[in-house]
Amino acid sequence: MKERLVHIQVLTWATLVETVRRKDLYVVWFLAVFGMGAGAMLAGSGVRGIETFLRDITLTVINFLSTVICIWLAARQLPEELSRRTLFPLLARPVRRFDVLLGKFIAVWLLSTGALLVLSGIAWLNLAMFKAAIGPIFWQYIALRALSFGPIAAMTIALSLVLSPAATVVLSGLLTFSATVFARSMAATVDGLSGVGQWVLKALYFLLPHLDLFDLSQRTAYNYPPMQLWVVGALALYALLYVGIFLGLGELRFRRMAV
Amino acid sequence: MNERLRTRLQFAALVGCLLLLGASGSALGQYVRPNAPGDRELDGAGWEGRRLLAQLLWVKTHSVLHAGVEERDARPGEAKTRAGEFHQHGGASQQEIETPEPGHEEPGHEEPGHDEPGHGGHDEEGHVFVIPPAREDFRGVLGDLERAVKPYAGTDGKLYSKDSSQTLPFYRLMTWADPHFIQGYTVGSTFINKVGKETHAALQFLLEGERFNPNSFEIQTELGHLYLVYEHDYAAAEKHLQRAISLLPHRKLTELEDEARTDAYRWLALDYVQWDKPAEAVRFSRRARAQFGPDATLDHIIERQGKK
Repeated sequence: MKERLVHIQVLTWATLVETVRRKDLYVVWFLAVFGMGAGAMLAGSGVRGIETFLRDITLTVINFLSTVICIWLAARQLPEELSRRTLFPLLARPVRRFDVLLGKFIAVWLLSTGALLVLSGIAWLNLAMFKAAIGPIFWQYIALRALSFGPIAAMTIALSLVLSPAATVVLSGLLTFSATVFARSMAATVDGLSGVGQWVLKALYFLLPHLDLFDLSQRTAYNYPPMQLWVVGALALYALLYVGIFLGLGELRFRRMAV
Repeated sequence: MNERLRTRLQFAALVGCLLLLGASGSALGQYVRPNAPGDRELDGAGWEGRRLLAQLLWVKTHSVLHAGVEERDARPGEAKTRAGEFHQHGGASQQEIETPEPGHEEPGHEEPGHDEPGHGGHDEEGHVFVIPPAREDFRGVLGDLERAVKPYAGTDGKLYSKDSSQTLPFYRLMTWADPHFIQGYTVGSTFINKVGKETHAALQFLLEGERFNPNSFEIQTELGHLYLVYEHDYAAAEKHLQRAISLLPHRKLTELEDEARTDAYRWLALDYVQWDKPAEAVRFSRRARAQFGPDATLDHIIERQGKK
């Protein structure tokens, strides 16, 4: 067991170092400063009541860029190893395939969370500068976004073992960004159905991950009071469940791949 | 040419292009914000995109007014089953946004004007929250989580808060995006005005709207309203309201246009009342009544001013 933990740790570290070396994250942070700055320009035009608008646009930028980072990092991990043929020497060692997946997953989660923290820091400074500071709910917002990276990264890694990198990015992006619309449409359709159709759609509703539940940006933009802690706990369990399911599915596929 | 020199030249060319783009910024500005005023048709895919953006911002203002709580049209029967959250957007909501100060109240008259953004007046259908209450939600704990995570009403079914000033940036942006979006100007000015505390800013906003839409009777009506009620400049109010009436289109009006037309007549009649021109007020009220039938405000003016 100890040996496996060492393997996972080494794989995670190698992925972290490789990603930091590629400097992708800096571009995203630069884009964040640019995006939030563009939104803040309106504050300079003397329009009143800018606080909610600024918080809304800033959190939208964070949501978008942090999710893009997570999907992008997760989607390229295994396909790149395969195309560069660096996976062969790795798997020639006594390393379990699940540990490779887990190491990659942890690295992606850490990097995405690190990127989120930097983005949140930029956002906090930007909002404080324009006197639109966010209340204590901001910490819960960050925690839930970090939790959401679990299912997103695990899902994307699993999809990257089945689809091409481009298709993985597109599909993961669609499932993540349209989560709210998708869930709402499905729930509304359930009400209009009856019998077997309704039962099937309900089952599907509970099967699919509801990534929109991790988005606290609207409550944060309107400065609602913090949520009760059971909500964060329940969502942490929900995220862990889907991480397990997606990594399990990924491992099944990875095990059958002729690498 | 050696490789190094070529690279430097390419770099210099790119920097030159960037500088050129920066220098031509003012020239590009006229495409973003047209200098030419008037009801000029703005065609092309770019303008379609800007109209769409303005519409999206318009929808967003509604959510902003309700502290992020999303709503949908109520289905038949939901007025009873979801009574706690069921509500209409009309006079009562307007009162919350723009509570008239005693000095500004019109005698025996409810202030005509605009309903909340995104909704026409006389909305009989009403609205309920998009997220259903726990008793109607098949999703169990997932529904509870959504109610906890998304903006949702408190346990008493009321909205968390309302702060209409937070919608102002959206009106500013939507009229930048589409300067021919009339409702953006008329409704936006109501919120900017803030019951007479920022009338000058509201007038500036409307005058900008007038510059881009000189044939809009809705903007003229709103200008007349502000000059009459908040500036007490009866001559200016008369000028704008008479212009509004002269600009009325000779076709079947939409529900919103019909309201604006009625408002124009009512405000002008009230303008004469405030200006102490009872004969003119009665004469005009009778004319207006002949145009679109009985009206409580006009009847009241005819009765009260007729005695004078």
